[in-house]
Amino acid sequence: MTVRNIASTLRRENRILIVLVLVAAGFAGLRTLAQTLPAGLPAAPAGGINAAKLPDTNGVHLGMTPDEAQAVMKGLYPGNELKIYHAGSVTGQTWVSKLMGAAADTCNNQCDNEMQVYFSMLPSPVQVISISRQLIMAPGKEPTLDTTVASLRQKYGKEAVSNGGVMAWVYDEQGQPINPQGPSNWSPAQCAGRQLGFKPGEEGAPTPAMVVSDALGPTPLAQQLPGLIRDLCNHNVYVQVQLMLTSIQGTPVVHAINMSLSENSLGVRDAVVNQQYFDAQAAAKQQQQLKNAQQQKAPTL
Amino acid sequence: MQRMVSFDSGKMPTTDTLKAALIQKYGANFTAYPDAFTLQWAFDEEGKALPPPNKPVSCQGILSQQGYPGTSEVPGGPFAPYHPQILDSYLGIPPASPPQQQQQQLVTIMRGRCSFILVTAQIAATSEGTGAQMTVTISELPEDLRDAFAADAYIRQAANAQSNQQLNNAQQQAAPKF
Repeated sequence: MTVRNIASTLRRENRILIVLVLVAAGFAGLRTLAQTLPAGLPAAPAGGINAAKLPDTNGVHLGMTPDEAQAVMKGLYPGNELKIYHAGSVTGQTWVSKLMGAAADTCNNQCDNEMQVYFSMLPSPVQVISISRQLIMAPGKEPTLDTTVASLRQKYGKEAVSNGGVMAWVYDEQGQPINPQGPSNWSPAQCAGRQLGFKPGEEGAPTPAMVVSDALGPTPLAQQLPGLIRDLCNHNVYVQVQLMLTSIQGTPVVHAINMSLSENSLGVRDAVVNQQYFDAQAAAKQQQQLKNAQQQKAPTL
Repeated sequence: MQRMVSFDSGKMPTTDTLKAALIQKYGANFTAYPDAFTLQWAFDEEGKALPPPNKPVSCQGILSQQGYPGTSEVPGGPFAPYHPQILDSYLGIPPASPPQQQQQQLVTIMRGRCSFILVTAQIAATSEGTGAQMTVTISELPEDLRDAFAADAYIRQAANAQSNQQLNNAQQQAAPKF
C-alpha cells in the first residue's frame, strides 16, 4: 500500500467517523432538546399519542404510523390507486412522507374519491399529522344535506363551528372534543389541514435527490418561535368539512365534500424539535470542520 | 312548410299568370298586403276558406321548433345532432322564474297569434312584369300553438318527474363513510 493510499483510506475512515459522531450527537441532542421543548408550545400528552383515540376518516387516524396508515389506505385504494411518497435525511434514513389515494374512474369523470395522508418527518417518530379527502358524488348519488350532517355528527360529535356549508370540530390530543376560544377574528374552521414540518418527498422508492435538511425552512427557529406559539391553530386537533350543495326542489343535497383533519399540536411540536435537531447537526458539523481546520498543518512551504 | 321556385331568365311567367295560378289554387278570398305581390289567405282547420285576413296581416311566426331541441348547427353543414340541448321550457319560459314573470312572458307569446291556417305567397316581380321567384309559405298556426303548449307541458312534466326521482334518490342515499 502506498503512502497516498494509506492517507486516502485514513481520510475516508475519518469521514465515516465524523458522520457517525454527527449522527450520534444529533440524536443525543434531539433527546435533550425534546426534553426542553420551548415554553408555550403544546406539550405532548402524558403517555404519548394514542392514534386510536384521535379522529379518523375512513379508518385512517391522525397519529398512525406509516405502516398502519398504509394498511388502511391499501384497502381503500387497491393496486395503483395508491401512490407512496418518500423523503430522506442527510443521515441516509428515509421515511414515508405522503400517501395519495385516487379511486379509479367509475362515472365518466363525473365523480371523484381522493385522499392524501401527510406524515411528520424524521428524526421525530413518523406519524400521520394531516389528512385531506375530496369526494364528488356521482350524478344521482348525492345524499341530502340533512343525511350528511347527521352522519358527520354521529362520527365527530356536535360541531364547534357550522357556517355556510363549513363544519369544524376541535379535539385535544386525547381525542376529547373541546371548544377553544380566541379573538373575534379567529375561528377553529381556519385550522384544519395544516402540515407544519411536512416534507413532500417524491413518489416511488427513496433516492438521494429527496434529502431534507430542515423542518421549518431557512428562517432561524428563534425568529419563528413566537409566531408558532402565538398561533392558536398550532394547538389541538382539528377536523373541517366543507359541503358543496345543490338543490332538488328546494331540498339541499350534497354534491361534493372536502375534508381536512390535522394534529396541529403534534405537527408544531415535531417541526420545532426536528428543526432544533437540524440546527444542532449543522452546528456540530461546523464545529467539527473548525476543529479539523485547527488541527490541520500548513503545507510544506 | 315553405316552397320557393326560381325561374330562369327567358322562362319567367308574368306576375299576372302567377297570381292567377295562385288564386285558382287557394281561392279569391285573399288579402294583398303590404304590396300587390304579397298575397295571403286564411283557412280553418277543416280546410274551409275563411274571409280574407285583416290588413295588416300580422300573424306571429310559428312557435314549434324554436331552439331546435336536440340539435345545433354544425358550421358549414346542415342541422345535425351535435350537443343535445336540454330545454327546461319549450316556450322559453323558465319554470323557476317568478309566476308573475312567467305570466308576462306568456302574454307576449300569445300576442298576435292567429287562429287560422295562413297561406302567404310572395312574388319577386321584375320591372318587365314578370316573376323571377315565387315563395309560398303555409302555416298551421293553431296546431303550432297547441303543439308548442303540449310540448312545454310534456317537458315540464318530464322535468318534474325527473326532479322527483332525483329527490327520492337523494333521500334514500346514505352519506359516504366518514
